[in-house]
Amino acid sequence: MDKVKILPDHLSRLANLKITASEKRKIARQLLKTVNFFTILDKVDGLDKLKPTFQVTKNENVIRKDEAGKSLSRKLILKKEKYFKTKGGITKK
Amino acid sequence: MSGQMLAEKGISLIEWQKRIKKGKASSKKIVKYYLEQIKKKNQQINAFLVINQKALKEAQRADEEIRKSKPADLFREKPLLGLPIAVKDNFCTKSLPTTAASKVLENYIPPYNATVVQCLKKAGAIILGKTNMDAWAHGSSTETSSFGPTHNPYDLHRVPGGSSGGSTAAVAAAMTPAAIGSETAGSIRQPAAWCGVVGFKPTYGRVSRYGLIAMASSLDCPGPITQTIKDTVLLYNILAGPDSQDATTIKEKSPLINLKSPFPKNLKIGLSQEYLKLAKKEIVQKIIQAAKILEKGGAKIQEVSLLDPKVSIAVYTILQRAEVSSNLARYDGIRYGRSRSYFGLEAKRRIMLGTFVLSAGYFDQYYMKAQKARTKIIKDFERVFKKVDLIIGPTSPTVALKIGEWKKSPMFGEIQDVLVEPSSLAGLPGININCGYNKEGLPIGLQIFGPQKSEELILKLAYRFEQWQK
Repeated sequence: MDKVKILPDHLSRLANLKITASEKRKIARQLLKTVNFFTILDKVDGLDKLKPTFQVTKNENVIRKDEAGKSLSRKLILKKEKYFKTKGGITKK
Repeated sequence: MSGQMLAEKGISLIEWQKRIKKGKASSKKIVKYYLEQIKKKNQQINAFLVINQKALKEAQRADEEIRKSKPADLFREKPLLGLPIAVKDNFCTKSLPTTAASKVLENYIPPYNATVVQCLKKAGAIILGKTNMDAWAHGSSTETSSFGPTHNPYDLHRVPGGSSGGSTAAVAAAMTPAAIGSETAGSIRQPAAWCGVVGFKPTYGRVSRYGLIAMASSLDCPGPITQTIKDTVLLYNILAGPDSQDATTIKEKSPLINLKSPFPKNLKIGLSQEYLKLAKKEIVQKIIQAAKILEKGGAKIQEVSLLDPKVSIAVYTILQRAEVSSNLARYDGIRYGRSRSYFGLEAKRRIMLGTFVLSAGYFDQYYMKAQKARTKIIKDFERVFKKVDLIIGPTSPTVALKIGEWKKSPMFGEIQDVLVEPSSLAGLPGININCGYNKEGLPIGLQIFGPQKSEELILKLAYRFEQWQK
C-alpha cells in the first residue's frame, strides 16, 4: 500500500462533522495507526484474483410487488409532535 | 481488588412457563419480581436505560388471557405469553425511547416496532425495558455509551463486554429471564462470554434487521441472550424467518428447531490452533477441557487450520467503518434526533475513518481490497467445512477486562472480537456457551460455529454440551 496522509480537516468536511482542535490531533494520530494496521492485507495471497463479496447469503435483486402498502399515518406521526420531538433538534414553535 | 458480585442464577423462560401452567406463578408476579430486581441492582450495574412503565398493566392483561385459555393450549399460539424480556436499545420500540445509547437520539420515541419486537409481542412477551450498549453499538465494553458504562455482575469493576453488554449483564444478574441483542461482529457472543450466559448469533439474514438501528448493514444480525440453550431455541424459533421489510433476509422459511430430534453420530468438530494461540492460557485450558467433554460425548475432535484471524480485524475494521459512515449520515438533526455535534468521540472517529476508506483515491486500496479478502475468508471456511461439521474455539481471548481498558487502543473492540470476526464476516451462525470460570471466578466462553444455516446442529451440540458439562 502507498504511504497515506490523513487530512482531518478534509475528512471532517466530507463527513459533515465539526471537530475541535484537540479532537483533530487525537483522531489524526489514531486514524494513521489504524490505517497502518491495514497493511496486513498486503500479505494475503491471491486477493487480485478474487471477486469482492458484498452480500454473504447471495441474495440478488430482491424486489417486492409494486403494490401500495400500509404506512404510518400522518396523523400518528405528527400527533402532538410526540414522535419527532427532540431537544436541540427542530421543533415547531 | 475485585468488585462486588451481583451475578446469580435466575429462572429460565421455560421454567416460568411451567410455573404458570401449574398455576404457581402469574405474569404480574413475574414482572413485579423482575422490576424489583432491576430497582435493586440497576444503580450498580446500569444494565437498563429505560423501564417500560406499562409492563405491569400488560402483565395483568396477559394474566386474563392465561386464565381464559385451556391448559393444553397455553403457550401454543403465544409461547411467551406473559413472560418478560429485555431488548437492546437499538431496536425500535413503539412509544418507548430508543436511543442506541447516544445523545443524538436521547429523546427519540419511534412510531413503530422493529420486526424483532413485533415477533416478541405477537408471541405474548412483555418488554421489561431497554438495555444499555455501546453508543451505536460501536465498541465491545459498553463504555462508549452516552449514559455511562454497564458493570459486569461478576465483578463491578469490570465491563460486561459489548456492544450488547446491558443485555448480557441483565441476564447474568437475573434482572430479566432473557434479552435480545444484536451482533455485527461479536456483540452478542463476546459479552455473553464475559457474563457467563448463552448468546446466539444466527446466520446473517435469518432474523430481520427492520427497525434495528443500522451499524454495518452487511453484517448486523439480531439474536437471543439467555441462561439456557432451551430458552435460546424458544426465542430463535420466534424470531427467525423472512421479512418483506428487510430485503436481506433469507427467503426460505426458517425450519423450527427441535432439540429432541436425533443427534448425528460421528459429528466432526474442528479446533484451530490459529484461534487458540490468540487466547490467554486460562482460556485455552478451559477450551481443551470442553473439547474433551465433547469427545467423551461421542464427537470427533480434529485439528483444522484456518486463515489468521488477524486478517479479519483489518477486513472488519475497513468494512464496518465504511458502512458506519454511510449509515450515520442520516443523522443530520433535521428530521429527527439532535444535530451531529452530539456524536461521541468514538462515533466521530469511526465515521471519519469510514469516510477516508471510501474517499476518492483510497476506495480500491482499502474498501475493495477488504471485500476481496472477505471472499477469501468465506472460501477458507468452505474449505474447512468440507472436513468438519462445526468448529469450536474460545469466544474471547480474555476474561472480562477492567473498566477503562478500551481507551488504550483505537481498535480495542476489534482486537477483543478477533475470534468472532471471521465467522461474522462470512455470515455464519455461532453461539457462546459458558465452559467454566477462571481462578477469580470470572466466566469463560466456548464458541461453536458452523456453515451458513447450520443453526440446528449448533444448538443441538450446545444443548448436549450443556448437559454433559453438569
